[in-house]
Amino acid sequence: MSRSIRAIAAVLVLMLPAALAAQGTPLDRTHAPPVAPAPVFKVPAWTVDTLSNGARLVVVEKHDLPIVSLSIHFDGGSIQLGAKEGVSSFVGAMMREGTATRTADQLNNELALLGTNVGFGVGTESGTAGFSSLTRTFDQTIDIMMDMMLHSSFPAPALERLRTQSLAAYTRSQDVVGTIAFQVMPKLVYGDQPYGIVTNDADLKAVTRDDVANLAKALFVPANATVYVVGDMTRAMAKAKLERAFKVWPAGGQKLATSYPAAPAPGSTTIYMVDMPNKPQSEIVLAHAIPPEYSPDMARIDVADAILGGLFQSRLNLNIREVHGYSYGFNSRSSWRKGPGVELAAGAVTREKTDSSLIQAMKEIRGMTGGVPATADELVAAKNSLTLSLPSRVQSIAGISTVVSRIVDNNLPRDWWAQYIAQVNATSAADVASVSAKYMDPEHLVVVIVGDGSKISDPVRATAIAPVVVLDKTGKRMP
Amino acid sequence: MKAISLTLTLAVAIPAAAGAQTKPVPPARTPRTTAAAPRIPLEEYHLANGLTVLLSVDHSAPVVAVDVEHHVGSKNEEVGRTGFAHLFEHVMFTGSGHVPYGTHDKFTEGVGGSNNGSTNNDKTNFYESVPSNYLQTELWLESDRLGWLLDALDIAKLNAQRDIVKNERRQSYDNRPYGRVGEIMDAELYPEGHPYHWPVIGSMTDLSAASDADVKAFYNKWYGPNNTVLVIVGDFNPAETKAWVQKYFGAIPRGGAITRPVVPAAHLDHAKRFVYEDAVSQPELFIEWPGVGDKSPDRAALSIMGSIISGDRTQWLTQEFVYNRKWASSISLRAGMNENAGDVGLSVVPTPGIDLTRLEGAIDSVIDRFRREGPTAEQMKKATAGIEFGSYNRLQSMLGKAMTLASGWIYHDDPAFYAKDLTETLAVTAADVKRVADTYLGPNRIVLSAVPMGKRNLASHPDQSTPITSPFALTKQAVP
Repeated sequence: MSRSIRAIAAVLVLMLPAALAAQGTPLDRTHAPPVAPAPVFKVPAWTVDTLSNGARLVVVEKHDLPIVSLSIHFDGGSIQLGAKEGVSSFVGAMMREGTATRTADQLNNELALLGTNVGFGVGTESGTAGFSSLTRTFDQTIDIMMDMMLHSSFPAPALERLRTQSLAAYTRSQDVVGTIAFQVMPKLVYGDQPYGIVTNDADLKAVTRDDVANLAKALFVPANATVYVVGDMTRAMAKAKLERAFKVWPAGGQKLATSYPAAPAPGSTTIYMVDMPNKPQSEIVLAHAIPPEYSPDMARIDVADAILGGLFQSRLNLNIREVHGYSYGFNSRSSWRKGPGVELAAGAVTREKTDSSLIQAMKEIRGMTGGVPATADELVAAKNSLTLSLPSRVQSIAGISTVVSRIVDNNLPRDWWAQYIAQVNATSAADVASVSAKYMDPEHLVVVIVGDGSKISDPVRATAIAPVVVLDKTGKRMP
Repeated sequence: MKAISLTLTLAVAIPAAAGAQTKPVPPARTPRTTAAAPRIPLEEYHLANGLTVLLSVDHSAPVVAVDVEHHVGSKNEEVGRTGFAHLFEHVMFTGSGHVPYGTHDKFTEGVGGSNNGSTNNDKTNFYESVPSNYLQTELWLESDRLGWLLDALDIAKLNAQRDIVKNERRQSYDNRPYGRVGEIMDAELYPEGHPYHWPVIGSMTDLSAASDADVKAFYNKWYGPNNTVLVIVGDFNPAETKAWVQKYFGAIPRGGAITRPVVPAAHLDHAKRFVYEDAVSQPELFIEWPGVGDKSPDRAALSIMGSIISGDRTQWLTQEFVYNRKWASSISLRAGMNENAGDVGLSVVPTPGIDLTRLEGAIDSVIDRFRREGPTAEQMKKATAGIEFGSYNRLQSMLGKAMTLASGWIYHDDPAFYAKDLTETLAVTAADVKRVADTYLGPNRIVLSAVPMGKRNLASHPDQSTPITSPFALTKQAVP
């Protein structure tokens, strides 16, 4: 339909120079055009009510499309409940295996015919339940969700099927350098603390049907629940619909206590190597503990991370990928948690350039601590990426839910985002150097390198960056 | 893609499409549901130099997405000179005549936005999503790399990007378990010289051998405004934006006339059977049939067929192998469509210890039964039940809308093709699905067993399987 117009356009092109001349001054392409002031970021307004069963209800109205999302956040997860390792990974799948009155196939088909999906998940420190649907199918969908939440049958044979699959997936994941690096890293940073434990095959084998049922029962209780309804639904309508649907879900359970030990004091920088023969790329991970989320240094650490490796033009990627061509990407991120988090720099690099990549990564990490101060341009880009990106996050109902729930879930002040933006914008080059020295200290890093030992071991040792300890894929020290 | 993981070929690559042109065209029908497709508001116009411009206003968030798509992909490359389209995707981020290296990121990521690009067999795109006050800046950046890219391109830049692409190749193909299966399948489904024979990332030998004159000639041939669509979606003023588009893009000269390659349908004269050794711990089984391209009248029926034969727990293959026999963790059969040809690809992750020969035989009996019986009425209903929600859901992302409009323009000369697609999908009948299953899931196909190194005996029908390696692997694999 469109291209035929070009026949006419071809004639018009002859007239173009005249048109341009008429405009006077030629266009100067060497300077960026002027920019209007940035749009002001407004967190969408939300209301908070307490439902009869004690659950909190948060509503954000957005009526431009006839869709709505419901998501229930449960405060606490496998750590707070002291669940056996590996149990939480089965909860979501087992809740799709049928209820007292619906077989798994019936459940599946009813949801499929509604054109939606209900999901449950349990993490280390939170749980979720929810769906997105057309506004008009909300009632039917939530009724099925409640049936799953309260009356799942957790059939033992289904667990055996899922266990076989999980074990096979575990085996397959052991072929991937990145998986192995992130499998051995947590224990090296956190020691025997809960965050240091990674589920392994022995854990998966030990999970029972009752473990799964009990975890779901203890976690999915109103006392722990905040319900987010975002989209084409008024506060009054949401309240009425949930009161009706939650009649089957009486008040109960208890709020889970949350407390975490500080991360263990880091030792001197050590390189931990895992051998995976014949791999054409090595995975390098450099890690250091950071404080819990919402600590006073959070905004400053976010700025430092953006300068070190959070963006494409950040120091690590610019050096290792763009200048040296050792990698397809080398980045960093601050992984925030309720307890101590971790700052990570990581990338897959060419086997033959493993030592060179390590040298460059260490150089950039060291430079962050003061030797190469953050430039004005770096600070602006880092701050903008953290603050001016917020408007794009409220395009979708899912994005709005994330932005608002961050405040409500963590009992932060209503104007928390404004405070955070102010803290980001107040961060100086000296602040960046100071948090870098404290939380990405080049003398106290955990460095994990997974790759072809026969080719990379000697060159890595020859860098003399730090002592080398050889581990197996599970993190055990090799002789 | 410019960074992080790429989906590039793996998703698009496993193509196929036998004799699509000769199949009868299904008669037109009235859609059987009234689910109205929400329309994306759209204004289309053209500059004198042939640039197509698509505008869609959405003030729901102060964000604007800009998507520039070129109707050029790896199929437009020549034998011995492959990988150029994808290489250009990289080069496009290295600066242009008036815009130094780094400026593009500075005015996207560095102002709270994002950017990236992607290349497939048929098209290449570059896009950014930014706070809406930066729209004019993005038009400045995009016009400069459309019109003045070569002014800033030298051999050093090319070499640097070649190295990065080789790392991309290592990361996404060579270092990834089963990562070479897609390109092996393509190379077998499409004969030597066929435009879909080689992977999007190209041959690293070709990339190394390319002179900068070769690369520039490719650019001049394919990246003119008359082979390009500019899509702007989001929070902007149309009159002001049109003036900016003219100001920045209007002076770019029209490119030469575009002659698109003749792309034969995928076709196999006989069945092929291979065994491929990879650095993996478990065997997997892959089957590929010739399918159809995106323009085929069978497109919608084949898509639905995939979601019915495999998918949720009550669908044919999934029910039989994941739930009843428990021979597999997952099984998937999907139609993969490039613009001009495509495939139907099956992949199965077997339960450890399951014999692939028995598994293949049992899969065939389920498929044969499906070809005889076709889907049930409930299965048909489930296959389209999520469409209404999905149609609204995708309107939430400015960038998502921009890409929907651009794809329609590139593949179908119709930015609103998504609406036609929805109508056609809702019109598919159980008889259509049965017919396409019977037509396309026949005996002429490629069966490939991917097995751990040294374990060819684990293949399906090992005695009849020819050892194969990827012709494109960066490090030449020893031929077994």
